[in-house]
Amino acid sequence: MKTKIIRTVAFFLIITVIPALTLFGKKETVSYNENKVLAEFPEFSFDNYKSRSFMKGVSSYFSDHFVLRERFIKLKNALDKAIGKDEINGVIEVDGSLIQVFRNTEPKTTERNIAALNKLKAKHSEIPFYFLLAPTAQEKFKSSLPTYLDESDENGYISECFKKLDGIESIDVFKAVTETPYAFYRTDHHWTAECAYAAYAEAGKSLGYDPLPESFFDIQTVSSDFKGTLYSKTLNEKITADEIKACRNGSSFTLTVPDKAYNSLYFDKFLCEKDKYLYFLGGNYGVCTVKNNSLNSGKKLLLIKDSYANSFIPFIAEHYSDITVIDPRYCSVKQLSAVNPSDFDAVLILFNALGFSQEQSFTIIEFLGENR
Amino acid sequence: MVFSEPVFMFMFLPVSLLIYYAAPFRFKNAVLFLTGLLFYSWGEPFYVLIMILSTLIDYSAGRIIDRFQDKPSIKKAALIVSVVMNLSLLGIFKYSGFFVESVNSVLGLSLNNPNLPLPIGISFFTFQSMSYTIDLYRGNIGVQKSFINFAAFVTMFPQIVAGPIVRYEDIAKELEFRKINFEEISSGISLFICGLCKKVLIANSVGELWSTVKTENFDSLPAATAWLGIIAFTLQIYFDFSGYSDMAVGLGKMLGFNFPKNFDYPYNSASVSEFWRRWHMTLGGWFKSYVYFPLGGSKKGTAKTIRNLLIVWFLTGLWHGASFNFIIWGLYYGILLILEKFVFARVIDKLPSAVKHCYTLFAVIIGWVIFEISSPASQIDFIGAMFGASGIFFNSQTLNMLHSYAVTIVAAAVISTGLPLKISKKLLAGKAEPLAVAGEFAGLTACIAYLVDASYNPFLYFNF
Repeated sequence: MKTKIIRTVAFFLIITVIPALTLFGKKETVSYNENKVLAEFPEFSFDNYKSRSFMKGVSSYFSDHFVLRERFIKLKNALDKAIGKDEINGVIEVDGSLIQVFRNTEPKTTERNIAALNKLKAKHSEIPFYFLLAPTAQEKFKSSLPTYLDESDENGYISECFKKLDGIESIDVFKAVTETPYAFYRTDHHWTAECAYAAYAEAGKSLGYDPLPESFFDIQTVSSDFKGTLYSKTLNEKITADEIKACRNGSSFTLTVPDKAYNSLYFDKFLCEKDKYLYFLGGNYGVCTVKNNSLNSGKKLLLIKDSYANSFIPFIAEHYSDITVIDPRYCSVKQLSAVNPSDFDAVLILFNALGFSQEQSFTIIEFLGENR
Repeated sequence: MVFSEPVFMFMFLPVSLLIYYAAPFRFKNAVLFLTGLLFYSWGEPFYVLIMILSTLIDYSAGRIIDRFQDKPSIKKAALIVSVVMNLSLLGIFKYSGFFVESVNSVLGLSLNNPNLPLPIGISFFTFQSMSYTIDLYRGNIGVQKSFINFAAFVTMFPQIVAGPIVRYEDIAKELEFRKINFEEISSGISLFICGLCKKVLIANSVGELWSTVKTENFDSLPAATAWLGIIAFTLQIYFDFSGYSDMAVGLGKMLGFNFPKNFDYPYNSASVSEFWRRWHMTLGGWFKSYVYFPLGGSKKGTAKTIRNLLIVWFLTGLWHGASFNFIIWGLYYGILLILEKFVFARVIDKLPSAVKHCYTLFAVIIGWVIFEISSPASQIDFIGAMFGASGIFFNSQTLNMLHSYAVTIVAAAVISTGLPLKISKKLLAGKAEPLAVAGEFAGLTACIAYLVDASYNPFLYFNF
């Protein structure tokens, strides 16, 4: 009988204390570690009730503010790991680094994206086009990947993409990237500034500039407690936090985004925030321009890119007085139609392979220069 | 609302139970009725009206049947109104779209599909209500004069959305008087937590594997992956459904009710007919009482028995969802049962026990293929893949799946036999209870961890 009373009391404690702490405990509005905005309590109205949006709102509010939420998620991840499910939200841990598993499950997306690229090139046949498709950390850690993992061959994927290009020169940075010791953040899906430098040095061979030697830059570690997107997905505490490095050489730049201009390509204010990769360029913009005020070459580059380019731009900006940067994920048809590839000396497309294989918005580049 | 979501466990349940326990006995059924309405309207804010309407009609039909005991025609009319109303609700909300689509495709018409969303649990509560009016008409039970008591029977939250199908006679006495004590509450909690663990820790986990396999291209599916996938589903549906029933029975106990058992280790069966005596027992019992026996059961010769079995299994299939594959699935079992009964009865008797179990499991697994894959062409493709039609036995994806799921699948398969429970009860005789409590709360903690970050927590009975 005693155990029966204990069971009953314990159960009722659990189902009353948890909601009490969840509903009346201290509230956060954002989850710093998970890098997301937490749901607010929904407003009650008859319409909200009828459409069930009230109920859904209560559910997400409750789960977002659940007492000890992060602890419970860590417990879940630990249990999953114990029974052999070591991939959490598409991320696995290899040699002290978190890496995203690359699976090319939707080959049609890539086909569409390459076709859009070839079509754009055909319209501007007089302008040289370059395509830099960067490998991700999976390639770097290829030899240490668990044997049971069913990943796709990323380097093979990159070669396949390059083969399908029509009149566009490919830039293969595979060797440069995999030979860089600290090429990818341990806790984030981006490449490091060192790796971006290696890619920049390699790209010079195709784009025709002489890359500045590493010694030319003043390299500063600006943060050593960066825990990025992959940490947020796994809340894995065992991984050493990452370093963010800035590389400067004294050139003066102006970054112009639609309604503002900045005189630096690095944004210190993001170093005390969660997503420190925003330090590079301050994030992603649909369209922005980078002007090198110390250079009068008049050479203009059109860069179509994802966020891998953000840490790459400070290097390549040493060789072009004007770079127009397009991020297809964030721009509108209207913005695109105002940019004509024919006005540039070269067009560089820079994406990471994993992102490119899943990118649904890439085909919007067909509207570049289509003034209507 | 479903049991395996935080809003139920940590908001609805504590508040409802506290009010329920605090209320004096004469108000307890009213609390059940009102909390049941809230529970149901949380998932179906509009269709709750239909449930109230159906409850009112069945209650009134019951009163009329009772009042006109000596006027058979009125009595009969009241019963017919109740049955027709319940079946029409099912017909309109569950089957009209399917019916219209079928007529369109057979006759080449283009009638408008009303596309009505299916009210959750409609197949459960209409069957429960009908059991009341039919049994009353037959004189098996007494009338329920209190609307609140009757409404509490229909709407009480433990069994309303996914069974078990509680017949009025099962709880008639408890509606009037029931004991609520630590003993019952404690064993209810124990059952509830076990059911929750079955659903959250096992069914959701292996279900994820099946949901991956299900979306693959069956033409090129390696044989091992196909088997892994369908075994995962076989375990998912058992742990999900029986877990849900356990939670319902457990909640019932906490409220002072004893609901009937719904699952009895079905995968241990040595024949398909035994399987159906152990799987979703309240549904089988319902069809037996209200369809099979009234049709004459097996007492009117072989031909009629076969006819009756086919009717019952056609309906059983259809009950599971408005789609052809459920009908095929029902008839598949009907035919297997007829074969077992009339053709192979002697052969099966003589088989070694291991062979009987393998045959039964195999038949059940093929059944789940029909149940889960809606188009017959894809069913054939999938069964083909199980037997190596793709020419591939396994690939790297199979290995990855094995690595991630082998532990869960083996554990689930072992638990589904009931052996671990039996053995531990024997070994730990005397000390079992405190250890069970410790185990339950470890399990509950794990469940909470999985529910907080639930990316995959499906409710499988929307079709029912």
